[in-house]
Amino acid sequence: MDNQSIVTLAIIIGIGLASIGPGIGMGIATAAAINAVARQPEIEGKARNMLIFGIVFMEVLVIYAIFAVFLAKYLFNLF
Amino acid sequence: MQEIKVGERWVENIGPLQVHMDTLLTAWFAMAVIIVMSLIITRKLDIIPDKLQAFSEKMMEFLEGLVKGEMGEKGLKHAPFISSLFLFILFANLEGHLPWRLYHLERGEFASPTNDINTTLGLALVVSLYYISAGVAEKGPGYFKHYFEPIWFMFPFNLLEVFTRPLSLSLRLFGNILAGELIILILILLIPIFLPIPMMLFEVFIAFIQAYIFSALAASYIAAATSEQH
Repeated sequence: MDNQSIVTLAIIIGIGLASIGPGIGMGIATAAAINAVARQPEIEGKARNMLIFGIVFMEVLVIYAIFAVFLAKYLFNLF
Repeated sequence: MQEIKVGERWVENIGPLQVHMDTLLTAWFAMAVIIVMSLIITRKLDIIPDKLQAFSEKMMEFLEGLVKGEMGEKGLKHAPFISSLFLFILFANLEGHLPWRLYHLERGEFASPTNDINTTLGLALVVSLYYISAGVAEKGPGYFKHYFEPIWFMFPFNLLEVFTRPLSLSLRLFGNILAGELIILILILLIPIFLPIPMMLFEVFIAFIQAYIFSALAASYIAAATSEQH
């Protein structure tokens, strides 16, 4: 394997690893929101709002990972 | 055959500045759409609204509701800023779904202006400046006191938030839009017929969510800066 394909492999594995944690977190958050709405259907709008906010903060972790690996690729190509 | 290129831009040197012309033109297009739409809608206002006026009134009610939910009645003076952010980001995101790519550029291509980190970082820095100056306008120099609360050695951690807020705001919008476009491109490479369509519909949904999230977070930052608690 040459260096370029090692970097490509690292990008793929990196994004995959980074999406494990937020994936689990989103599952827990969504389950909690569904539980809340099932117990108290009148707070649906509020629960959806909170769920979107929570999910957005988890999702940004994966996006940091994407950004970091592309930055790493760019830096690797530079040197 | 379509090729996937990330971060290739049509760069022009204007004076000392390096300008990404494709981003600039598409951003101007989004602004032009908003301006022309508002001119058309406000041309003949009526007590009994027609369809367009009813739609825009509904939209403004939604945006004012967003601001009111964060800041209450007295936050309505910030509503124009939040609404313009929402409308610009929404149109900028949706614009990427127009068939721009039929027009070939030498380098780069026309797409959403928000898939350029410079656009989103600019918006995020405007939000940062706005919430700090709103806090200063509300409380005077006493605003900066809350960086030393609850105790003085928390100052570095509180200062960190000044930098992480624009970083996360800009990277969230940029990453979502760029990742969506990349996924659509990859699907087009695999099977060009029918397969990308559900993903494109999902990206339209993402465009709304991201515009909402950006403006709601901006509103909550302004609310935190202008509230009485700290």
